[in-house]
Amino acid sequence: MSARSIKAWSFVHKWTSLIATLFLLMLCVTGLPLIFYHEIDHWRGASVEPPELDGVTGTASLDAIVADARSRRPGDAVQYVAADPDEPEVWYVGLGETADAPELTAYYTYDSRTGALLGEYPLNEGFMYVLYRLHYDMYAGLPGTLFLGLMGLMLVASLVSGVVLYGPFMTKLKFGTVRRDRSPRTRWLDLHNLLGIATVVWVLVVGATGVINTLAIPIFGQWQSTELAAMTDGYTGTPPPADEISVERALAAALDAVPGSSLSFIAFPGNEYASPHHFAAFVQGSTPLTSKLLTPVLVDARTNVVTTQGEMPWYVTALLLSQPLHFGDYGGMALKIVWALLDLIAIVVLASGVVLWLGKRSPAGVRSDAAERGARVPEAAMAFRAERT
Amino acid sequence: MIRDSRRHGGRSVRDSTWAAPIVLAIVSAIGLTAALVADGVGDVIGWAALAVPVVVAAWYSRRSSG
Repeated sequence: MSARSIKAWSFVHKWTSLIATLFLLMLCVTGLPLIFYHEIDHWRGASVEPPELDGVTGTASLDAIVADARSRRPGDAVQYVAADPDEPEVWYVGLGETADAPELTAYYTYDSRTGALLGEYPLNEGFMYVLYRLHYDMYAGLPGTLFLGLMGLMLVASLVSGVVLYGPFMTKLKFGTVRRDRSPRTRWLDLHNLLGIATVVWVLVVGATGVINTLAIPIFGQWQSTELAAMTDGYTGTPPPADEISVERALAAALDAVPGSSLSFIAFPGNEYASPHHFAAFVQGSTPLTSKLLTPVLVDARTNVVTTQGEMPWYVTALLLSQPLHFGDYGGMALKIVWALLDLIAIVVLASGVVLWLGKRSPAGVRSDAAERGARVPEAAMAFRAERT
Repeated sequence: MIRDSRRHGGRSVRDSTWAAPIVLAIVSAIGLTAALVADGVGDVIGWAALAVPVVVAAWYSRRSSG
């Protein structure tokens, strides 16, 4: 590789990293406990396990459960009912000030066998929520989320340029060499190269899927304003259904329409994921892959007849697949632990990058650095020296 | 993982700049995908394959130079 192109790639690597490092460190540190969000929630009692009930096999009426939730917050509207195929003993009911309010006011967990209220999830509070908000939008709403997405793009550029630069730096060195007999800076450089190249595919995938996740609101917005609107436009101008609607019958109709499916969540009429006239059930398949994907089924809220069942467009599917690949929650506890270890290594790569940048700015560091690298990798040293002057 | 074959007279995989990184990249990609498309065995392949870069990184960052 020519000195000129090394210089150009070094420039890309240096500046994309410098711009993004602080935010990426924050994302790695807050992301570490978030890998275990589910477990920590159970441990601190925020979410509840359904009790063992010997001999109880019946199912409670979902309409009665929803009525109970409504009676607990008479001024609010039910936005959706959610389920977890791994925990068939529970229903979750989310309420907001209105059916399409952006924030929930309550999130109840019900026993699907007895209809009993098991717990209310503490919304918008606690240490994990703070970590989540920092990781998700830094408390700055959609602009904050999109900004973090931009930092993710910086990461991708930094990774690509880092891989390109790995070649010239390693031509004279065996894989995995860490020169402990040299200056601290050389040790940091070797460590940065080793840890960076070993984990680059994982960091790239978690980074790129993180960027896609930052687009969740625009992606669903696009789907709502085009495909969902088209599925329900025959109803424009007709009045919305009166109060007597049955989510239980709507859900049964939706599950009948897609054999082998189970519910992810069903949005109530008026919610932005449904229409003023429809329930929208989002059902998932039963294989590991199809259980990550959603099929929307629209049910007329007045008649409980399925009016449309659509497929999600590619951009929603890409988002849905990006979620497990970013969260690492698709292979049990062992995968989460490996995810955490890889995250820790990524933190060392980021920190060593900062150390290398700081070292290069001190005159002593520059001298020892140039002398050593000059002896080992002439062209790379030349480029770095050229860039500094 | 990255076997030093010099003991057996051949050129070491570690002498090549890209052999080990490419192997690690492929193993990582297999790990990321396996648990997504299959449960049970897929989960085990998933975490075991993704543990390979962790072990390689830990092994070489702890051992002495060379």
